[in-house]
Amino acid sequence: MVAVRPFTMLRITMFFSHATGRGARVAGPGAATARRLAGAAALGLLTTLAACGNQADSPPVKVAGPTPDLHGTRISTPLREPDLTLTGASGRPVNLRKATEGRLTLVYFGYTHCPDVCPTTMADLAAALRKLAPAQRARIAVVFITTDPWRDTPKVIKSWLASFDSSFIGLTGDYAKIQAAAKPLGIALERPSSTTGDYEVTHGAEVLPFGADHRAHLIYTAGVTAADWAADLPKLLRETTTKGGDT
Amino acid sequence: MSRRTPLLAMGVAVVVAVAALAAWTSSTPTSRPKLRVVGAYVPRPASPDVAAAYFTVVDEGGAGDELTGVGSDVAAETMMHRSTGRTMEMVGSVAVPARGRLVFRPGGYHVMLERPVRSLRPGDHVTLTLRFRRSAPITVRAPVEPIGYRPDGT
Repeated sequence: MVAVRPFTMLRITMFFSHATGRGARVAGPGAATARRLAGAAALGLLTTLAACGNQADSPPVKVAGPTPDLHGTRISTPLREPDLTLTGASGRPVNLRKATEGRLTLVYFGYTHCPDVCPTTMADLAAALRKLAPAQRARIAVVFITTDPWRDTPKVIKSWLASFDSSFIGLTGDYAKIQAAAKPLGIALERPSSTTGDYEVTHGAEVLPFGADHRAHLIYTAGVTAADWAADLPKLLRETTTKGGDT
Repeated sequence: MSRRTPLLAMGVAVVVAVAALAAWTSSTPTSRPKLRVVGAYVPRPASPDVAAAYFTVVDEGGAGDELTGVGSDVAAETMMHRSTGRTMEMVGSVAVPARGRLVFRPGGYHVMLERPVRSLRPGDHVTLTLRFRRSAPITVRAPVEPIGYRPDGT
């Protein structure tokens, strides 16, 4: 009896060291909550950033709180889908609202030279869409707006998006215009100090789902998984059909 | 009965001593890190100009270590990065906790492989050499996986 104890203690110690070693990983039943909290924290930062801006016309993004059945974060003041015309991947002008009329539109600001977050976000959205029924899929548009128009020409964007889903819409154009469209959405983009050689670019930390009413009622942080998206998209589709209307 | 009692006591004492010694030798941390690199992979890059590598470094020793750099056969320039909100920051070294693990995964730490010299498709392999503060470098062959791949299937 006495002899067993040291071994039991040893096993417990090893178990804990193994468990704590994996501490950085967000997984298990609390993961969704953790991600939502992280999302709320990111939004807090967003709000601060937006508030720090000197443009009076950019309202801060106010978090209304986590949503019980969705992996996004509900915001108290809906965000307006920008009435934005840029250059599409085909090289022709594309208006964001007109090109996605009537569809649930997932907007992400990113750049193709981004090694980690941007391709991961696009890949996760593509994977989620593949899990939906074709009828549901047809009612969703994914729009990638570049934050690096210097390198992201229509041709570059077209080839990059084709790696994920060739139906994704890519937009490029004047940086000031892109920056101005992002700002009221709480996405503070910083113009790179140099645009030659290797340079750093900022990207959005969130995906905005605009309904048929051209409003986003929640925000998804870029870390939301494909499985979470696949679970949420049918619910967002139901929300957007009941809302209807236009502005 | 009176003769068996001392024998029994001695027996118990020996068992306790052996068990204590075994517990002591295996729970005393070794003073050196004992590293293993597992689950290395490179998602097929969507851009011809940049790729990322992910892996997990496990320390089975008791001292931990520091990852100081990662080289690759496909890129002259590699950088260790941590994604932070809207951007990423370059990191010079990252700690491998003693008896723990350091995980490079999407949205966290990654190795940026700049301008890969060949196209990377699923089935191809990339050689990664991880350099550490204390341990000898470790070289692994990382398979190129489909876009969006996750080791845990999520």
